[in-house]
Amino acid sequence: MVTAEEERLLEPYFAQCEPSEIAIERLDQICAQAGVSLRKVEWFAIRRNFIPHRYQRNLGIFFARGQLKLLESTAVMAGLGGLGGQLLEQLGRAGVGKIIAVEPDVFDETNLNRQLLSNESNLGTKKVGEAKKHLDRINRAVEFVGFQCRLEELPDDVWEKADLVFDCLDSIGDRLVLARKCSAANCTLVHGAVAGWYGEVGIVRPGSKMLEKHYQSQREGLEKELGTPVFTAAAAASLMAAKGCRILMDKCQSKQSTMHFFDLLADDWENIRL
Amino acid sequence: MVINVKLMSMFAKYLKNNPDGKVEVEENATVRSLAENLGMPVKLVRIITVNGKQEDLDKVLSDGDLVYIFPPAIGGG
Repeated sequence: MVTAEEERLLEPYFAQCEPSEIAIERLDQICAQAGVSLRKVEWFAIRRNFIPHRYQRNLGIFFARGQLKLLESTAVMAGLGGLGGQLLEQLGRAGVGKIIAVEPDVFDETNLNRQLLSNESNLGTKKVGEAKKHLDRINRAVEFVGFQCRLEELPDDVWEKADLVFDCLDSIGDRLVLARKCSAANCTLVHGAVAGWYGEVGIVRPGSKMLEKHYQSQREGLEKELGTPVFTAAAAASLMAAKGCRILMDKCQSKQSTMHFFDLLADDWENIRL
Repeated sequence: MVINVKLMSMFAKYLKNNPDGKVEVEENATVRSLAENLGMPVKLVRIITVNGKQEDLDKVLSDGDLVYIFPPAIGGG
């Protein structure tokens, strides 16, 4: 995560004091003085048992080891709409170190009921641009790269850099393209989809062809009929974030593909292994 | 025999005559015949589980089985 030279630059800031919690102002000072990125400064601090205040409430379940793993990780997000906006917020606050997002669209009024990154003042603006601004307000340590293009237009090396890919798309065609890209790159995909009160979140292991089997010849879902309320999108995004962070922190023991279905109206849920 | 049925999301309305989820079927009934008897659009059925294990429409049912039937969801934007 840090080079030998960066380690040499950072070591003096931590060598002569007892490990403790560390405030963002101090991290910023070290970052400016040593000329090392905030992501790397945070990572190095945690390695030396200086816990940034911002991660204090993560550590009870992540522990230092898990927080380090998250900071080391690169997540690729396809889609920054209802699922993607909520997921970006959660991955950013969790401290996933690098997020690469692809989204071709701009915000419009119909997004306001559910899309966390949209507001009345940013209609007509690029979703990738708003994602960057939002992330900078909640966690500047997270490195963000946004592509305003279609999935097929992403450079090939994006897939090689990904530790985990998140499917926050809204069409079957794009979801199947993404599944194929992940399989080719031998990368696990966290899938999410919603319709009305109902949602599904899956872990798609490379080569499983789970989404191909799931959607078969189908081309349309239920969401146009049932709509997409904010709480269903947020519930699905939370499940995606939890499953994704577990995988990135090596806390996911099963290597199988799984799908989790939930119905918020019926208070019912079911997990299946595929 | 009696099957315990859970229909998720838009499929829930097909259980309106069986609000407790208990559906009486003939011996050797399959998931397909169960779904057809309930008036469900079988072509929209994508995922089926019987007692927690994924099965297909031709699965033969036994008395007391718990059957979940899920419709597809695509939205995310």
